[in-house]
Formats: sequence, C-alpha cells, structure tokens
Amino acid sequence: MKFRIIIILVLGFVFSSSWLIANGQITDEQKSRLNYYFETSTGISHFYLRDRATSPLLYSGYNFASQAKLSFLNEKIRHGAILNFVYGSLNPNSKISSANLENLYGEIGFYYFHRIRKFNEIPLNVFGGASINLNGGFRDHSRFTNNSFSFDQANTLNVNVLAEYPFQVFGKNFMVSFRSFVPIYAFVVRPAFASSRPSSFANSSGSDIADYFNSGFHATVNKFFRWNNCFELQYEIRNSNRIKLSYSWDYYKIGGQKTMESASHYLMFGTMFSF
Amino acid sequence: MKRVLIYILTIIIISSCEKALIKPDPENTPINNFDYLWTDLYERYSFFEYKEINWSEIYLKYRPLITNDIHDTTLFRVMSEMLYELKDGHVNLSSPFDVSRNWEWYLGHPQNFSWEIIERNYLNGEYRITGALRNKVLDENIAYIYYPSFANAVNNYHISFLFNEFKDTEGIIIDIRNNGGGSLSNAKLIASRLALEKHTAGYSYVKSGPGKGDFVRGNDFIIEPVEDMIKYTQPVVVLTNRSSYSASSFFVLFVKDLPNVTIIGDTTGGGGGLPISGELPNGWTYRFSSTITTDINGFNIENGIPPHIKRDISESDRQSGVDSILEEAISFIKNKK
Repeated sequence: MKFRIIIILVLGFVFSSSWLIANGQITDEQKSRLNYYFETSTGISHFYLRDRATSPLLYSGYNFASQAKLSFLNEKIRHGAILNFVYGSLNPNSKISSANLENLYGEIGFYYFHRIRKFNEIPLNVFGGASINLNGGFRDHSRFTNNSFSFDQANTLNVNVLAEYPFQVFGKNFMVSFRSFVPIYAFVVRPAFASSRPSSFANSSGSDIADYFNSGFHATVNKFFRWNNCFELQYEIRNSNRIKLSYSWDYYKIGGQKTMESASHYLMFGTMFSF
Repeated sequence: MKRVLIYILTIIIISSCEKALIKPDPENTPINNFDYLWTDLYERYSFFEYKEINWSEIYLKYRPLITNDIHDTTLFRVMSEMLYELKDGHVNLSSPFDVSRNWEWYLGHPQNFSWEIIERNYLNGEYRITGALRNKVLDENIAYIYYPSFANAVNNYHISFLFNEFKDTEGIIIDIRNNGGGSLSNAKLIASRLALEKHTAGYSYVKSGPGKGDFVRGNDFIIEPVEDMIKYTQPVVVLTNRSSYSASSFFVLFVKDLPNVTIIGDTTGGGGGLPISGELPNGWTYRFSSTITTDINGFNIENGIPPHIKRDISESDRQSGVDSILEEAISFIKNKK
C-alpha cells in the first residue's frame, strides 16, 4: 500500500512539475502570445475488443465517439487536457444474433510537449513530451448472468511525439499534425479471476480507495502495451478559430492469465475556439 | 530531414494495423469448443475437490467422442453429458436448440409441495398478492406467506406492510418450497427484517486462480436488522423442499440460526456456488459455479441445508389434499405459544 501511495505521489509530482515548468519557462511576453483553445469533436469509432476473461470471441462495432480538449500552445509549448468518450454496442463475428456487448469507454489525459526540432527547409516542427492518461472500459454482456459486467481501468505515464506541419492552400491556413504515444508505466485494475469485481472488493477492507489500489498491479510494456496515433487536419477560419478533421487509431493490451485487447479507429470532426 | 520523413511515413504505414496485433477468433471446430469448455471449468469451477470429481479423468472419458466432423447436436449431447457429471444445478450449456441441465437435486427426491393443494384447501382461493408475496392469515390466526421466486423483487414496504397486517398473529409461515432461487439481495432483505441483532450467517470463498486450491475469502454474509422499521418477534417457520434452490438455500443460511426461526420440511436443493457465465468459440454460452459458501461452522451448503424438523408429505396425505409439512408448521407454532 505504501508503495502505491508513493507511485501516486510521483505521478502527481510529474504532472504538477510539468505544468509548473511549462508556465515557468514561459516569459510574460510569451504568455501574452499563448493561444488557448477549447476543442470539441464528435464522430464514430470502429471498436474491436477481445476480453478473454469473458469470451474468446472478438467483438466489434461502430460506436459514438466524442472528445473535449483544453489546449494551451505557443511557438515552443503544447500542453492541455483531453476527455474522450465512446459508447455503443459490439457484436461478435458469428451468426449468434443475440450476442451483444454494451460498451462504454472513457479517458482523461493531461499532456505537455516541448519543441525539440524545428526544420528550416520546410515548416515542420517536432515536439517531445509526456502525458498521463486515466482510461476505463466498461462492458455489459447481454447473455451472461452474475459476471455480465466486465471492465478494465488503466492509469498510464506515456512518452509522446508530436509533429506539426502548417501549410497554405489558395491562401488559406491549414495544418496537419501527427501525435503518437506509448506508455512506459501503468497501474491497471481488472476484475478478479472468476468475478466481475476487483479482487480486493471481494473481501473488502471497508475503504473503497484502499480496495482499489490493492486490486491493481503495476505494469510495464510486458504486461500492458498501448499505442495511440492521431492525425489531424486543421483549417483556420477566423479569429484564430479552427475546424478540424481527425483520424485516430488506438490499440492496447493487458496481459495476464486472461488477456484483454482492444483496438479502435476514430473519425471525428470538431471545432477549436480560441480565447 | 529525409530520415525524419521516412520515420514519419513508416509510422503512418504501420499504424492502424490491429489485424497484425489481434489474432483472429479461435477456429470454430467441435474439438476447439470442447477443449475450451473443459479448460475454463478446469480453471474456474469451484467444487471439484468438495465433490471429489477428477476432471482430468472426465476429459479422457469424453474427449474421444469428439471429432471435427460431428454435428452440433452430437457436440451438444457429449458436452452436456460431461457437464452432467458435475451434479450441479448451476451448470448449464445453452445452444440455440437446447439447454443442458442437471436437475437431480430435486428430481431424485419427493416433491413435498403442491400449490394447488395450498391454494384450494388452505387459502380457499382468497389471498393477497403483496409484490411477489402471496399471503393470508389462516384460520388458526397464523400468517402464511408464499414466495415463489427470489427473482421477483420484494422491498421494505412489502415487509413492513405485512408485519403490520400480521402484528396480532401467533406466528408467520414463510413458504419457499419450489422457489428455485433468484436474487440474493431479496433473500438478504427478508432475512434482515427477521433478525433482531447483527450476526454473521456464513462465509464465501472465490476462485482466484487456475490451481485447485486457488481461493480467496470473499465478503462474509452479515445480516443486520433494519433500524426504525417494524419488527416481528413471534415464531417464524420457513418451509423448504428439495426444489428450494440457490437463493432459497442462501435465505435458509441467513435465517436458520435466528432464535425465533425454525426450518421445517426437507433439505434444500443446495446451489451454494455463485454461477458465472462464459462463451464458446461457436457462440454457445455456459455457466458454472465459481464460489463456495459455508455456514459459520464450515458446513458447505452446496448439497443443501437440512431442516430443523424433517417432514415429508406422504402419498396418502397428498391424495387427500393435506399438506402435512404446512400442518406440522401450524402445529409447531401453536405448541410454541
């Protein structure tokens, strides 16, 4: 338990430090040139999922996806927070028409990037940085009884790379960006071996928080792997406001006795309001 | 610069490649389906040791009957026969054309209940239906409640209403014969309304790993009386038979040690393992027990809880329209006065 508290404190320190460093590095003059954006996007996600704790079958389907983002950026810095939400039904690739999974996925992330390379030949900027993500997938099997509810929840520390390429077409400002991240550390909570509840909740200590931390495990890439890529095309409309079209691909796998893996494609359209 | 572009293009090309990372579904063959079912039960079924079942021997007995060219009905029959060996009413295999089951927990014993006899000869066709509870005050000033299934919800309003209606009776008979189970929360609610003080009724053990002895202690079954709600302090008799299964057995576990409660009838059907579900590569579903439940003395309730007073309905009584278990309960309450 003490080790887990230390991990949480370290993650909190990393996040708050990145935030303070980011603001500390920004001079007053630079702060006045910071752009703040509130972004919202909606679209669809093609979700694939196989949770071997409940079924050997790969479930898939088109789900509703939405995202909200608060971003702060200037010439050298990108940082902000992202909130993702996916909801819909998934079905196996079989002729069992009644097999159905209700899928709910949510994620919150905090990121910080600093420019590491600016190319002179072409206006390409490359950023490196870190992010902290908390995500959770919750599923309900329509044909199951006591263990119809299944879930996975992961808290990750990730390394990120971001490339931005602004360009003009017919005098209009566009930008295409690519962001990718992989986790270097994760704390993962899943149901117990033969239950739909985390292991420590089966014999509760009376404290939900203590039970939560006692149910999870620390993981590096051998037990938890994730790869997330996102392509964005932004078009500046007026007053620094933008519209954007994004395509993301996300894959993650949780190892162990009963592996869980998920892959999803997102196609989303959104707006970026500058303030 | 060229190198950076190559890196970026490489990432773009190999991204979105879940087909390379996620394996296809396991091949839907009879052998794969059989092996998957056997393996999942081997890892997660909770009663092999208690029932002295050698699951590996069962595999050697039934696996030779499976080949990849057999029909679905043959596959279903063989897997059903294999599951039948577990002698567990919580074990079922569901296909689009049939559901396997083992109902020996009641078929091999006297029925000891007829709703027709109760409704015609004791309730005279007149009774209240309070939520899921059929109830009436019998001529002997004893309240009778029949609860057909714990899957039907009861709430504190129902219980408070009935306790108030029955406050001047000499006792209550709660009949859960032929109650095949349902929600444990309904069983716990009624038990908490009968309890006069907090007590631990039993313990649970949850399968925690694939090994035979891989169990962890689950949450104890603690029954706490509900504060600020009407209580009933007169004698309570619970009627059981072999068809009182699953949540009914848990209800008996929760109340059997209460000072004002007596169990009369036959041993309950059992069903002390919480069933969980799984799915085969061909889409068929199955369920099986994954926990163990004992009373506070370590008695495993899987094969049923014996009553305090054993009573059967004889064939002659049944033919005469007499429910001798109910008669025993009425006599017991009268003598308790």
